[in-house]
Order: sequence, then structure tokens, then C-alpha cells
Amino acid sequence: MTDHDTVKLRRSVIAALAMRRKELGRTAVMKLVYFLQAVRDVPLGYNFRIYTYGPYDGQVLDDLQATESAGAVRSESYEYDFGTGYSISATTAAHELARTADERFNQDLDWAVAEFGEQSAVELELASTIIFVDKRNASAGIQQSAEDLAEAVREMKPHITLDRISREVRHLYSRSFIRSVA
Amino acid sequence: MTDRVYEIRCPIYGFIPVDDWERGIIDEPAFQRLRRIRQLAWTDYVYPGSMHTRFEHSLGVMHMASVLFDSIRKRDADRLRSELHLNDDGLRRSRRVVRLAALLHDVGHSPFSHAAEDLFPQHPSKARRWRHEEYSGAIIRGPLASAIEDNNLNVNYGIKADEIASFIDSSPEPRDLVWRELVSGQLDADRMDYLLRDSYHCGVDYGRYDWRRLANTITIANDPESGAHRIGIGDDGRQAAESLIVARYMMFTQVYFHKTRVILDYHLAEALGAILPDGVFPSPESIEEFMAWHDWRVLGAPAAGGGEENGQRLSDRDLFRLVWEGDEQLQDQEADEAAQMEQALISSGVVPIRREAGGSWYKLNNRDLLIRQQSSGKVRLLSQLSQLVGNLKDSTQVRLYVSPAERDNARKIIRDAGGTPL
Repeated sequence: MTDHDTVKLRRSVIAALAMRRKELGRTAVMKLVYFLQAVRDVPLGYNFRIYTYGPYDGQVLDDLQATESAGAVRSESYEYDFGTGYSISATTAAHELARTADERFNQDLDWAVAEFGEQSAVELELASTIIFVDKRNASAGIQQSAEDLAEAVREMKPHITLDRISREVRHLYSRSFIRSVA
Repeated sequence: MTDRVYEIRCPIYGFIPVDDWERGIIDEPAFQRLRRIRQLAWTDYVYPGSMHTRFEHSLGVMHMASVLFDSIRKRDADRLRSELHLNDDGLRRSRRVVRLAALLHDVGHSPFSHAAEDLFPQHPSKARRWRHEEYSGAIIRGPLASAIEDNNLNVNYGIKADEIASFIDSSPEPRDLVWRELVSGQLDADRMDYLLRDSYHCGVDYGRYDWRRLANTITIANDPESGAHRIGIGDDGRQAAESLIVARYMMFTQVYFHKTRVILDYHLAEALGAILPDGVFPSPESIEEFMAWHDWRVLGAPAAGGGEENGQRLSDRDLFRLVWEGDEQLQDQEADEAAQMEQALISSGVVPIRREAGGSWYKLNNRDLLIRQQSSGKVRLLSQLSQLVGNLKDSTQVRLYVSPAERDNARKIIRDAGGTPL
């Protein structure tokens, strides 16, 4: 794919996600895109890096803005638990932009929304952080217990209880999204 | 015993203090190489004063990151302890890590900074080129490792080179994750320094903003959606945050995406492609070979007739000419017109060089900042509080350039196609 094709696909994916799930927050856009690239190998070419709020690439927000400028989605202020963010919705023009993604990655898009579409921002950050750490360890050839993985994530997200992290690790493991746990 | 402190003159901050440990790293050839990499490539062809290097910028980023860190530590001491479990010892160590990561974040730059990054080779296992952060990581883990790990002062910290490299190219230690945004984020010391420094050396005022106020009001804020700890600004610094965003916008239009600077970068990349063996830089796996490439070495080539046509054009300042450009905010109609003009030129045998604002490393991305209401702790986004920032759009400008010999013909073709040539 050329760079131009990748940019087109990214924006198409964002439009397609907005069509599948109403009132997406920016966190949801970021993390659903991450899952598509990291778990389903959709070739989006993002460079996700880990932060306290999970895997992040500012380019996703640039593409979201471009998708909005193209009229396929719109953002409105929305009150969340910790302050005011944005809620993103598809417009009637989204279908046209989403066509490329729908034609090539329909199953992957449906998968992302089915697996993670109903999760809160906190849950999405947690699941994506677990998968990020797991992928990093797996690519380094590190095998670990589910408890060790949960502990590693707990150090990154001290505001979430170990019990909650452990439950999410077990859930992701049961769904076969974890590779570094023996 | 207190650590000995040295002071380095800086045109932006006055003095930048460093200790023996940091001085030892700065004195290493791998860091001194940054003296031979200009911050803004050939921008001196437009703004003659912009001869500054990655060396002074790196010192500046270390200083700015320390100012921001200290401000947060003072302002949010209770929250750092209660919510992030960081005590004085932990914070003292984190400050060290942040300073070293900030100092070394650019050691992996290729000659002429970002202008030549398209000449990094393909990553062997990823569908992309190597990135300059990965070169930085390789230099920190390799040639700089001993200066980082073996200094006597490190007895008090136990810092490993890999920890600093990972802060830059992969994953910081969990205890330092919250500080990553100070080196690489929406409100990072890198950007805060280069705006001030580039503005100063170019002799323009567009990049100036109220950095002292911003530094005084920086704070730990909670992500509005998830509550995760992030770097934000207290509501008493909102206007300073606006001034930073405006500075970024103005510097982009006036310096980073200046019409002549853009085509200089093109000629440079093409010339370098002709100079480099196989047309690409050595990979981070051959880091010593890569480090042998810097501006001085490259500059000698065009002077000696290297770099083929583009090397000659740089030597003679005989650059491709701008013949068409769209507005800063490209509308659909103009996007069609850009494609139409490009096609008209190609159909007539003139192949233009197309440059887009969206492809620039300096584009105005990620401009939203978190603003924390200090009384309630609630967070809002700057774009929601500021009409100015909320309405600011990324530049989507497209430009078409042709060789000087083809300029008159290109202008006629554009005019015949219904466009307005430059």
C-alpha cells in the first residue's frame, strides 16, 4: 500500500467504526483502532507508544479530525466522569468514506465493536495496556504467568486495583488475545 | 557533599546547569556529534540566522523538562504521593531519568534533522522505515551506555542505559510513565524549546509564547474520559496554553512550511540519496556507521560536485520554483484543482514536485491540551474553552514546484488549465 492508501484507509476505518457504535469517545476511537492494528493486523501503520492512558498515537486524532473535516463524523462536547470530552458520531456522509474499510475489513471492524464496543474508557485503556505489554513481552520472547502480567500492568496503572486487572487478563486470555502467558 | 554544577550559556534561558555526570555524557563523541547537525537543515537560505544545532536544542530540552518537572513536583506534591505513590526518593530518581531522556532524545538524528528521514532504511520486521527514536535508542544502549551507567553519581540511582533508551524508543519504566509526556506529548519540553529557539535564531517572533507562565501552571490532570493521570495545565494558565498553540501555528506557516524551506528539504533529500551508499543511511544495527554521517560530511559532497543535479542546485541556490499553491485550508474544490493542475502539468510533459502541509513533521497535530479546574479537579479540553483554538484548523495546503527551466512553460499550462500560476 502507498502512504496515500494508508491515510485513506485510516480515515475510512474511523468512519466505519463511528457507523458501528454511537457516541464514541476519543479514547474509544484510539483503542479500537489499536486493537484492529495490534490484534487483527489491519495495516494502518500507526506508531503506538505506551502512556499512563494506554497505547497512543497522536496521528489517530489527526485522522479523526480529517474525517470530521470530510464531513463523515461530528464531535460534540460530552460530560464524562472526570470532565468534559467529546462524543463522536457518524453523519449521513460516513457511509461513502467507510466503504473502503467495509469492503476490505468488514469482519475485523465487526470483531472490534463486538469485543470492545461496549466497554468504558477505563476498561478500554486497561485492555489495550494489557495487550500492549503482552505483545511487547511476547516479541521479546518472555513467557510469564497471568499474575506477573497483571502486576506489570498494575505498576503502569496504579489507580486500578490488581484484582480488576487480573480479571481482565483472564478474560483476554480466555479470548486468545494474550500470547506471552504460559 | 553537593554535586558540582557547571553552567552553560544559552540564548533562551541564560544559563543551563549541568553536573559532572551530565557533563561526562555531553562530552561523549556521540553527543558532540549533535554540534554537527543543524536544527532546521538549510533554513538559513531563508532565515540566515538559523544556523543553530541539535546540540543546543538538546541542552534546552533537558533544562525545560527539569523546569516543568520541578513545577509539577511543587504544585502537585500531595497528589504525586497519594495517587501515584511517588515519594521524595522516587521523584529524585525520576527527575534524573527525565533529564537524561530529554538530553538524549535527539542523539539519533540524521544529517539535517528531519529533512532526510525518508532515507532511513526499511525496518526488517515492520512495514515501515526505521525511526530516529530507534537510532537514539541504539546510540544510548551502545556508545553512550558507559557514560550513563559508570559515573560515580549513578551509585545513588542505579540507572541503566536501557532504561533511558526505552523511555525514548519503547516503554519507560512504569514508575516513570507519567513523565513521558514531558519529553514526548502534547505539552512536551521538546516542542516548548524548539519553538522558542527556532524563533530566536530565525529572527522572527512567531514562536514566542508565555513559557514561564505555562511552566508555573503545569499540573497533573485526569483524562476526562478515563481518569488516567496526564500532564495538563491549571485553569490559571489557559491563556498561556493558547499562546503556545498560536505560536505553533504561526511558526508552521512562517518557518517550518515556508515555501522555500520546503523545496530545500526536497533537494537535500534527493542529493543525499545520491550521496549515500545504496541511497539510504545505515540501520541502527550498524550504529557506528550511521554516526559517521553528519552535516559536515554531507556538506562536503555538493561542494566537490557530489549529490548529482540536486547537490549542484543546493550549491548554486538554483532551486525549483513554486508555480501553484492552494489556500492554507484546502477545500474539496481546491483539492480537485490541485489534482487537476498536477495532471495538466504531467500531461504536458512537466513533472511537478508536490508538497503537502499534512506531510510535514512540524504540522499542527495533537493541539488539544487538558485544562484542569484547580478548585474542582474537573478537566476540560482547551479546544472547548478557547474559540481561538477550537476554530484553528490544520493547514492542508498543497504546493507544486517545477525546475527553473520549466517555470514559464508550467505557468502557461496552469493558466490554460484554468488555474492561477505563481
